Amino acid sequence: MMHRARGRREWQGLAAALLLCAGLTALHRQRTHTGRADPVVGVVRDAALVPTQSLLFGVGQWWQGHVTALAQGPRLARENARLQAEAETLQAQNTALMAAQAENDRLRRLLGFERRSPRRLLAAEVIALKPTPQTDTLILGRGGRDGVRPQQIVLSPDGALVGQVLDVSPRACSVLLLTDTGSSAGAEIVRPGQPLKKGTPRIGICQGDRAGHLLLTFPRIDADVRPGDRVVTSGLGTVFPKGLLLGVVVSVSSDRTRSVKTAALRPAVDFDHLEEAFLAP
Amino acid sequence: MTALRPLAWGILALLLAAGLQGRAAHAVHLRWAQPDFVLVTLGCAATLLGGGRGTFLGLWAGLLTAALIPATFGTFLASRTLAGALAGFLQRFLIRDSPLVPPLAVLATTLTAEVVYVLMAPGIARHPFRLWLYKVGGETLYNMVLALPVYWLLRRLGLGHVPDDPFGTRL
Repeated sequence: MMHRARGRREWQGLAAALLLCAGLTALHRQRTHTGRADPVVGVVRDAALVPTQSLLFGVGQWWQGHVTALAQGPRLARENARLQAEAETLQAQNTALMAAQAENDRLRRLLGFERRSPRRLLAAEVIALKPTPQTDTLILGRGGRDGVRPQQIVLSPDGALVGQVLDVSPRACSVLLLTDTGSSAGAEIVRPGQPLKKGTPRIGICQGDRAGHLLLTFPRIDADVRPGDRVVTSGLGTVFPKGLLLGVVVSVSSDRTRSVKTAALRPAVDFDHLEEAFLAP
Repeated sequence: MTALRPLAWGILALLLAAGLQGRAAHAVHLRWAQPDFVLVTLGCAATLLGGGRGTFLGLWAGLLTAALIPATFGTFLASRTLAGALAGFLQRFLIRDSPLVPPLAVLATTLTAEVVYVLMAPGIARHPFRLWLYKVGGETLYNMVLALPVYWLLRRLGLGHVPDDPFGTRL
């Protein structure tokens, strides 16, 4: 009897939870269609996830800066017991200096790119990278408060295309990476010094395959594409401007049945080690 | 208050798992297999806490994941809620401190979440289907391996039955 009552309560709870899911989804869709931020996503992301991920980021940095460095101490001590104290002191100083130097180099590189770029850029820290296995996305620590809006393009510190903004909350935004299957961009081949064959198409569609590669598809089998060719955005469409680097061709295959030629690209961005990015208007 | 404490630990554990997912999951992937820390924690915590609270944790896990990827908001909410509910219902049928329980609970949770997800958003498996299968298979195996330490940690936090109530009648 008690078990039956408990079972009924559980089913009622599940039904209530699914109804709540439907209500929240309806609210989310309505907000998204009218171009406004979803308050539920905003609260969960900004009040819970962003602080947690920032905290974990800090812990990770501390671990790399201190614990990893200290782990090398015993090895040095075994190698030279007489100099142990001095070596540990020097190593700690060296680690701190190297971290400072690396940060200095990185900031100089960022500053240089920001100055060179013809667009007004907004620098943002990557606070979560590929947070779910289902999609290739990342979360940046800039949001509606900083003027970020959906469909803004995201660039790497080297100026290569990372993806576009999917969704914005006040303090953060999610970005769909180029490597996601839902991502596509008009692309064209650039071969400096060597012109392409006349009459062959140079523009194709670049899509992600979620395995970390990009696939560039041409609607004709006679497209002149070779390994080593650089691929940039074509500027066709309304989202991506022309000339942003996408990647380099590593292999080419032809499908005569569908009369298409496909090139596999190595992305210009190392998506697994992206620490900061730029939002362009 | 005491009854709410395990649930609060479950909520906090899921928040930490969602934070770790964004910071560490991509760094520990093995070829096709990337773990889903949220699903591992959900499977273990929901099995330990039981039906209604499992459903609630599933809804919370869905909200956390959907807040990261709002493009498939409803799909994440529904798939995680159903997975949490299933893991909660499993509590009645599993001997909770057997070492087989965590991998089995996480297997059921991961497969439920992924199958419901792909049924609601079939486009995700369209490009190409075999890759999706590899990814889900790898993720499931990885999650099952992680289930044991996560389950042990949650037990240490006081989730699940207490020693003087081995059948969990007071849960």
